[in-house]
Order: sequence, then C-alpha cells, then structure tokens
Amino acid sequence: MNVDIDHLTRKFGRTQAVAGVNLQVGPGVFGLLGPNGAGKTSLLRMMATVLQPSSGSLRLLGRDPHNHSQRREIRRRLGYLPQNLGYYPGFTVVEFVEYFALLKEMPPARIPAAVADAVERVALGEEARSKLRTLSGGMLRRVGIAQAIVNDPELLLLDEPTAGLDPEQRVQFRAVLRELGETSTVVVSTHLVEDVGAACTEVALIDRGNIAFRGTPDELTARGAGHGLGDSPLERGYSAVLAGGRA
Amino acid sequence: MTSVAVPLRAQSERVGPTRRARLLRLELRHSTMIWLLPLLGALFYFDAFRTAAGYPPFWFVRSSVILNHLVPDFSLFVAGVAAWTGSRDGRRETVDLVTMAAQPRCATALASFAATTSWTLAAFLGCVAVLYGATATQASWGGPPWWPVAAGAAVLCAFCALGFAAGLLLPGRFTAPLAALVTFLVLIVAFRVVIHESHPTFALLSPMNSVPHGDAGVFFHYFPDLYIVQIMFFAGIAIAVLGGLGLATASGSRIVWRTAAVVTALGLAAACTGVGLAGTARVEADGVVIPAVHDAASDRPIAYTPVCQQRAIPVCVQPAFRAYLPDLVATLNPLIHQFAGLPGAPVRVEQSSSSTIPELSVALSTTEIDTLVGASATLTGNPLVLHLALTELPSQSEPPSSQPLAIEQAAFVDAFIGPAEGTLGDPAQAAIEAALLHSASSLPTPAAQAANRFAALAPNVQRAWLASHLPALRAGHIALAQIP
Repeated sequence: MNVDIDHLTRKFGRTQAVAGVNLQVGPGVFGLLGPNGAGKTSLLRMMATVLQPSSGSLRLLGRDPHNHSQRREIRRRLGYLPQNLGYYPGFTVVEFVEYFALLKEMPPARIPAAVADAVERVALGEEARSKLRTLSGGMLRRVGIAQAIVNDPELLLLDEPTAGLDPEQRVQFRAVLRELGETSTVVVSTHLVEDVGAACTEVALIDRGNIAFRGTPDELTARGAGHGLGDSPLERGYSAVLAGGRA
Repeated sequence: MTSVAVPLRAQSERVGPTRRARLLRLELRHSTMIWLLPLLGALFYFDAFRTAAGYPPFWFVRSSVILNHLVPDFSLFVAGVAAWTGSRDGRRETVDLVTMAAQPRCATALASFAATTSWTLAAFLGCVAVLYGATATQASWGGPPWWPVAAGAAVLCAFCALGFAAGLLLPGRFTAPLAALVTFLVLIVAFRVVIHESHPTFALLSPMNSVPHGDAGVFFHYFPDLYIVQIMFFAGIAIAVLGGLGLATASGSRIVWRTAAVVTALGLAAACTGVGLAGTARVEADGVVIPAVHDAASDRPIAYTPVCQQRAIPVCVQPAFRAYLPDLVATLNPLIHQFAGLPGAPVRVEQSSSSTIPELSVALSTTEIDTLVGASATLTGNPLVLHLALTELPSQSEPPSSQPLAIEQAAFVDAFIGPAEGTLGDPAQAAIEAALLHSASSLPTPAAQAANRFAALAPNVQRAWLASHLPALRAGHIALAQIP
C-alpha cells in the first residue's frame, strides 16, 4: 500500500479536524469526497507531510514520514497541489515549475525535459514564457498541477484540482488523472462528485473527520438508489451516505 | 490535455548547471533588490559621491563616505528588501509547497538570502568602484583603502541577514517597512546616542564612527584595528542569524540542526569577540589601537620623497599634496622673499603631519573631517627647517587659487618672528607679525600704530630693519617705540 493510515487524528485547538481515520490506498486514482469542513484538506496535508498528526500512524510509500531521511525520500516522490495555490507573480510558468522541480531534488539533467513535459501535459505550452501574474485562475490551477506532476510522483495529492477549470479543461484533466493513476497513487480531494465518477477507481466519503463510506464509485451510486438528493446517481449516493451517517 | 509547445522540448535537451546554481540563478533573476538598484544608485550619487567630491582628494578622507554615508543609506533599504524577500512564502501562501519539498527549507531560504545579498554587495561594490575611480583621477599619491570596503560589506550582510530572518519568521506586509525602520533606529539613533553616553565600546562598533584621521594613509598608516573588530562583530551577527534560521527551519534533520548550531555558535563567538576587543581599544594620536589585532609595522611612518618647488627658500610637500604646492608657494612667496637670507631664516619649508594634534578622540564624536586637521609651524634642526602642517584643505573641485591659505602664512610668520618655545610673545612681535601679514588693526592703540607704521615701509626697508633687529625682536628686547 502506498498510503497506510491508522487511527490518524488532528486537532486544531478544540476542533477535531480528523478523528481517527483508517485508510489504505494502493495504485490508482482515489477520490476523497466530503462536504466543506469535513477534514479532507487536513487529511491531505498530513499525507503531504506538511501537517503533523496529533496522534495515530501514517506510512507513505512504505516509509515513515516522522523519520527525517525517510521523509525526504517520500518528498522526492511526492506531488502536491494545495487547495489555495500560492505563486510568485514574477516567475514564468516554466520558471515556477522548474523551481519546484529543483526543490524536489530532481536530477538537474532531467529537469528541463521534465518541466517541458509537465507544462505540455497541462496544455500550457503556449503560455510557458508568460509571467504568472498574467494568467487566469484556471491557468494558474494548471500551473499548480504541472508543478505537482513534474517529478513523476509515485504519490500525487491533489486538493480540489478542478476548481476554476472550464468544462473542457476538466474533461482533459480527468484523462490526465486516469493516465497518472496507471503508474502511481493519486489521491484527489474534491466536493465535485462528477470528477470522482469519471476518474476515480475508488472513493472515500469523509464527514466530520471520519470516513463514512469507502468503496467504488458504482457502490456509492448504489447507496443512493431509491433515495437521496441530487441530479445524478452519484450525487444521490453521496447525499444518502451523508444523511445516513448523520442520522 | 493537448500538447502545444514544441520549442520547450528542444531546449530541454541541454544539460544545465547544478541544482543549487540553478536555484540561485532563479532567485537572482527574480530578486526584489533589482528594482531598488536605480534608487540605490541615486542615493549614492546625491549623498555619498557628492559628499566625497567635497573632500580633498586623499584616499582615506574620500573613503570615509563609505561607512558614513553609503552604508547607512543602503542598510535601510537592504534590511527592508531582505525582510520582504524573507516573507515571500508567507505572503504568497507557498509555505506548504516549499515545506513539502525534499530540499530542506533552510537551503531554499539560503538561496533567497544569497540572491538578495549578492545584489546588495554588487551594488555596494559598484558604488565603491565609481567612488574610487573618481578619486584615482584626482589623487596624486597612495592607493585605495580596502578595510572600509570590507567593513561596509560586513555591515550590509548583517542587516541583510537580520531583515531576512525577520521576514521569514514574521511574514507579513508590514515586516519590510518595520525592518527598515528598526535599522534606521539602530544605525542613526542607537549608535549615535551611545556615543554621548558612557558606552565607548558600542560607540566604537558603530561603522559610522570609523572616521579616519586627516593624515591617515599620507604620513602614517591607518590602523585597521577598528575595522577588523567591526568586521568580526557584524560578520558574526550575520553568521549567527543565518545559523539561527537553520535551527528554526531544520524540521527534524539532525545534520542540519547540528550544522546550524555550530554556525550559530561560531557567529556568536565572533560577534562577542568583536565586542570584547572593542572594549580593549585605546585612542592614540594616530588612530584607535586594539592590542590583540594591532600590527606594529603600521606604527612606522610612511616613507615618501617630498615634492619641492625651488624658491629662495624651497617649499616641499608630501606627494599627496602635490596639487596644492603651487598655491602654497604662491601664498608663502612674499614671506619667502622677505625672510630669505635673514639670520635664523629656514633653509627649507617642509610639510609635516598634523597628527601630533592630540584631538583624535574628537573623531569618535564627530564625522567632520575638517575638525581633525589643524595648522602649526615649527622651526627646528640645524640648518633650520620650517615644518608646516597644512590646514583645512580645499576640495579638488574648487579652484585652488580661490582658497585662502592665510593660516599657513600666519603660522610661518609666527614660527619665524614669534617668541621662543615656552615664552610669551610681546607686543613688538605681534605688531611686526600683523604688519607682515597686512592684518594690522586700525584702532588707535600703540601696537596697532606701530604695526601700521611698519607695514607702510617699503619691503626693502622692512627687510633691512629685520636683518639688523631680528635676533633682538625674537628675544623680546624690542619695544613698540623702536619699531620704525
């Protein structure tokens, strides 16, 4: 398993963001669904080794992130797109992606090709020399994805990756996700059930810091058969699970 | 997603420099300091450069603007920009991305710091090059002093490190202006305040107190002792702050933590040693001596061959003062004609150092170069040589002929006519001096009347009277009534 989480918790003061999550994730595209404030971002930030857990254990790519040298190994193989992507306005697209390729300690000789590849995969080749301050919100999101995939990560963590993308870009991005999922573990946190249905092989639904459901998108759809709210079968399954858990 | 750009692929085949060099190159290209370079250039021109242009073209005198003007001007902006750069990830919300990278946070921060410091030092050294280049075209002797440059670079590195640390640890939009304000308070207020208090150690550590004596680098070597201590202090602070940043961003790495701890300890040791050594400083006539770092070789006077202009009494100056020789000779010429061949007249007028004036302690409480230079003349030796210390030299930018050198005339006349050492002058001597200097008063006093009488005589009559009465006049045996 590339992600092995055991009774993981995280508290912010009196607020319990993540309350004893158990989760194992292997290769493929894994969706994390949940309403706002459910704990998805906190869980993802712990998996990205940015946030320290309050308790519980976490193993990523077979390594312990508490150990410094192992954490460094994990980070070399990790890609992360945060929910709020910060950027340096004066950098060009290529420079920004190159900057994070360097921080991920990629072999210098490989960096130019990897940067070019990542920029092309998110369809920003024409804007490669544009300053980030000149790009639209959707383009910036794609720059964020490019920096996340530039090191060909074994574990890719994406927090709301399709926010700000137009429908065409969203469809293209789902294809990229499926392609990445063939060789690595991709964890996508989203509240858009269409993304999960189209790209994920497995899904977990988080509510109030706990996993309320774990299964395939089809199994989630099945939960909504005959009851639940929503326009699509998956949305009905989503709302049915949430309603059941809260009841 | 669709693939569009082809040129990127072609460019990607070349193998570039190492990872750290690439990181530094990126940081250098995007450093905020670049935007500030024109402002720093303007500050340099309107403050340091123009101030230096008003000083005589002596290397050490001109170089005093480096620490008195250039470094304080730069420090405010450097600290602010460093704080702005240090707070970048906090302001831009890229902390998560930078933190989850394999490269340790301290290494990333170090690249940003190195870029800011590199631009700062490049701007500083560029300004020094312009200053020294201009001085080289005017100075007739000596060479550029490098200790003030090294001390200035250490001060800038220290403020860069302090500003950067403030930005990294307290990221925010107001960190940069606050860092600049604190730097201003430290440099301009704190150091200046302690000068007037009973803390000479801290006063000595202020870079703005390294005012060289007017004759430094001309008649005697300037002691680098104080510069060495200041470099130790400020470089120590810079190193300690960088080490502290390493400790704060070690994020569990024992190697990083240990290295940072050692670096911090070394920096603190250097800074504390600097403070300790400054406490042992003593002010001597030729400069500040700090025994632990003092080189005895610098106590010896600088050897030089004087530049002379032959007259009835030859006038010689130190080669650095070559430009002032014609003006000095023109000033002294009437007196030389009057005195040459008289009993007790000097065979040569030679410039001497003004460093014997025991007022160097004043240097610690002022930045005025002019106050460090005095005028005096003494007749010594056999045959007699008149040693003349020049005073308040005009700047090279002003025409020499417009500069009054009357004080040198007065010193010359006083040394020749005036009372012997240890005795008081009498009214007859004062009257003759006033007559020769054309400075007699119009008041109806006996002395003024005698001076005016003597001044009205033809020069050959004056000379004849002096030839017969000079020994008696110098001995104080002439009464006012005896003056023709």
